[in-house]
Amino acid sequence: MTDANRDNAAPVFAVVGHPNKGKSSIVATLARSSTVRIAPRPGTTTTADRYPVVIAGGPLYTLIDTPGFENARRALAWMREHDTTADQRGEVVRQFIREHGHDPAFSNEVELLRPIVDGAGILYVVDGSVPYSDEYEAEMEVLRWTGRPRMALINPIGPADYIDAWRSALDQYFSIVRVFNAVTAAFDKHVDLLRAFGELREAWAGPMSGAVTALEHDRAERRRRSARTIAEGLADMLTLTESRTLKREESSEPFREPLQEKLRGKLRQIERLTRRDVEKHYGYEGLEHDEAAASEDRKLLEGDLFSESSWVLFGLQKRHLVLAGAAGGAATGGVIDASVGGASILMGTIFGAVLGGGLGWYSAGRVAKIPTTSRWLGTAIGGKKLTCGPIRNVNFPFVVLGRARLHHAVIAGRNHAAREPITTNFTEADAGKLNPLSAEQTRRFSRLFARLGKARNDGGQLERLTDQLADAVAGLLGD
Amino acid sequence: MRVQAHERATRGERLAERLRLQESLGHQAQESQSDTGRLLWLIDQSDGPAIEQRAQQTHTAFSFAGLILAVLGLLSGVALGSAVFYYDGRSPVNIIAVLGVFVVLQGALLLLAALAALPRAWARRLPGLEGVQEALRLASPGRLALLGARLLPQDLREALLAAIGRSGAHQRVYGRVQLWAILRWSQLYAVVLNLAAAATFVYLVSFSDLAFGWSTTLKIEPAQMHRIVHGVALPWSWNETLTPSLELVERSRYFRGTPFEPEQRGGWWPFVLAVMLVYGLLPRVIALLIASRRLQVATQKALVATPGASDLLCLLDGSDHARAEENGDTTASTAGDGLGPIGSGSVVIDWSRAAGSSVRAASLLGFEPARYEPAGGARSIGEDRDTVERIARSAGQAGVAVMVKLWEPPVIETTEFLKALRAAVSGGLPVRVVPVACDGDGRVVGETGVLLEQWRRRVSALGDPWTAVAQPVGLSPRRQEPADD
Ligand SMILES: Nc1nc2c(ncn2[C@@H]2O[C@H](COP(=O)(O)OP(=O)(O)OP(=O)(O)O)[C@@H](O)[C@H]2O)c(=O)[nH]1
Ligand SMILES: [Mg+2]
Repeated sequence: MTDANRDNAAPVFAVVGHPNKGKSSIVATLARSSTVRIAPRPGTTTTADRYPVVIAGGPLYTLIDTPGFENARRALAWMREHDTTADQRGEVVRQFIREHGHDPAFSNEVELLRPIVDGAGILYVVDGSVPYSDEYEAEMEVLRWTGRPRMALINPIGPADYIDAWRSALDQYFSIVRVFNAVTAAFDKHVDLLRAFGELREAWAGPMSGAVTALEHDRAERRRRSARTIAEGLADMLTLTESRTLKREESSEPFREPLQEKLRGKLRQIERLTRRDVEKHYGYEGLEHDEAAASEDRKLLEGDLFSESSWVLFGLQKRHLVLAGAAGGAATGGVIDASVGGASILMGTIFGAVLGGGLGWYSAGRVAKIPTTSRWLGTAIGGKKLTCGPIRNVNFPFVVLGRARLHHAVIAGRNHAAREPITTNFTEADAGKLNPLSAEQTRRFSRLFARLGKARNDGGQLERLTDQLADAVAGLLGD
Repeated sequence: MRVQAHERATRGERLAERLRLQESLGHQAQESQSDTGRLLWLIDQSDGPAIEQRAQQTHTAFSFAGLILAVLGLLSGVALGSAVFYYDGRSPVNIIAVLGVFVVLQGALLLLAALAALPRAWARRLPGLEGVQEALRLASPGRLALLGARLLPQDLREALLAAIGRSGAHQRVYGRVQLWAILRWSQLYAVVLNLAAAATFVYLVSFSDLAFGWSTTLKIEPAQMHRIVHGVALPWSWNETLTPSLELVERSRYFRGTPFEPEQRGGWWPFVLAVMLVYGLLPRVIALLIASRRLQVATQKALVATPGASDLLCLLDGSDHARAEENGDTTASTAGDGLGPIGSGSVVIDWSRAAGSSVRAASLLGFEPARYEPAGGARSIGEDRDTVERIARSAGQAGVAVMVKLWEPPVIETTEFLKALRAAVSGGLPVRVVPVACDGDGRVVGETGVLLEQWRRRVSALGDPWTAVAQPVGLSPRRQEPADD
């Protein structure tokens, strides 16, 4: 097969390097696949595995995860013994593969070199958090012998920084050297990297810029779907009620508390499901969660922080304070309490709610704030209906929205190389990272929330309002 | 001063503790008279309280394996007897076939077993013999016990495999133990087979009417046949009834397809039985006794060769070793691996410039190396080979320390080097892999735990008890943390 032939196909890149330097992690992140095996122990990957990167239907390019070099010096010695002229070196590598196909001492070298001589570009991965040393030179030299286009990725696994030394050494062997952290790299880094792949070879520039476009488009689409999901969750929560029929002579008192508890349970459930859906939009199915126990939530969001009357009293009129507080980020409810007295209660509410994990806005003492009504059902049936909800607390949807934004930011910023459970025990610092809502945005959302609450029996109106809300939320979910 | 006194006290305590432990284990080993008990002690010195249970398991597993082979031997013996002495009245049991199976074939098999058992030193001198030996060991019926082991429950199976050294570690020490265990099982199998064949024969003679004759496509006259039979019967020539007469030989010749008179030819059976017992059974019984004895000897040798055993002996004598340690003549690299301390006098190999220079190696290790040799890294394979040869010529007794980077995973290149080193230096010379945890500026690099575990694994997979991974150096400023464990 000639090179020209290969160029018509989507580009293929073999991710190679020393064992345990994050090759599989880089493949997982770029291919956005949770099935790539990643482990702290070296020797995790034992065969060359192909991962086609599929975006919006077609495979745009293919990544090959490979096992690490184990015996490069000896392989290079063999190749040098069989060397003739520089133009024949690729052939010598092929011959090496043919002759050592069944030699266990070179099984990794054979496995990783095979896709390269078959036409893959080389992505050589090193760990920038350990010192450079000349023991890597044999493997880099072997890669040079293949004669294939190659770039190096410095993946800093640990906190230490030896990147400069690495860069100087890698520049000797690779035409392009980039730092790319497999676990923390942000979206724009992916895009940069794909562009760099395109620079490796003229024939790859077209397909890779196509991949960039598709990736960006895909990203926007995921965001749009997530906004829609969040809006639907909000609409559900704002209209949710829980009711129960009682006999005429029964007192409603003993049923209030359980009914309200049931409503709270459903609200929490809706938030959970919304989160799972957002995670699915980003390709994370069955992500593990590391949430605070419900009781912890309640403690965080104690007491009259949630007093409806304070909200009504201070909420909208004093919203500039609210916004300022949110921008300040680090301020805590208590501090503001002391300085501006009652005006801070609203800020405390938003902060406390956003900071807390789980849906624990209602402490045990606050249940009465869920509107609960009983209504006669008419003499024929001879009973009455006890209904609690929907929640009218003006603050409530903002709390939900804030939490959803934070969760989305965590998921959208996550890479598939990260395998630890996600944390939704958001901290003040997390909250501070989000841009606060502008006055304009606050007004727009308040209006939408209020109308949603009223539209609960009007399907058409509900649908329209949810669409508008989805648009508004989409504007909030940025990169 | 106070620090020193304190260190000495803890060292003393540590020694006492180790002594107590080893003594009690040694005691257990002595008490459990069986080979398996002792074997277990060798393998599992560190296991402490679990050891008794493991000993029990190993014993059960060994008995089970023996039982499997005995049953197999019994079945094949009955099958063999029934096949050789098959008689349906049409043609008699052919004496030639009987001699073929019970004298020639058995003799050949026994010879093969003897070949497999030849000492390594002899085997090396005969070209090709090592390969033959390997093949024979693989083909021996004793291996069946290993296959049968698959039927065992997990824990028993592991105990069995560990006991015969299949688990990889310490292959060098237990190789002979494994060989003799397998050979003993083979002999057990053969003894039972021969017994069963003989019993089948006796049964057939007593309860059915066997007829014997001889017939061959070779041109053998009755006189010649008589001489052969006579030769075979030499060991019991003092007993006339066990040796067929010329007349019987003449009469019992038959040609395939022609009728014969069975009733006259029963006179062969005492001879046949004698052949089976003397040529089939007897050599196997002797071989079984020899194999059992050799297994015992191999076990004891392994005991002495096990790292730590000499330590124990020294400690019991209160001799040099213990005193050397008391004098503080040791370093941070005492590994608790039974190889004893490494110290001045050791050759230091700096793999891929883990230390970087002899001065730095000395400061990391806490002693002045007798020699400092760089290896690995950007050096060529040939240079490394020369280094190994140089070291082999002058390593002395103190051992070799191979310094490696703890932040780099062990790779085939490194383990191949360790193998080459071991092949070049004498069997018992301690080789210690000393992981270096910090870079040239003394900063600890990377996550150390996972990789230390990997180094231990890869090195122990070499199956060489005198090569072990020591405690890492450079983890914290030296001398503040006393030595090992
Ligand atoms: N924090 C952090 N950890 C990383 C990063 N890249 C890899 N790791 C970790 O490093 C370890 C090895 O990563 P792998 O991706 O399995 O490395 P590999 O090169 O594929 O390893 P082998 O397949 O064993 O050769 C895993 O525990 C990863 O979680 C990174 O950028 N940041
Ligand atoms: Mg891998």
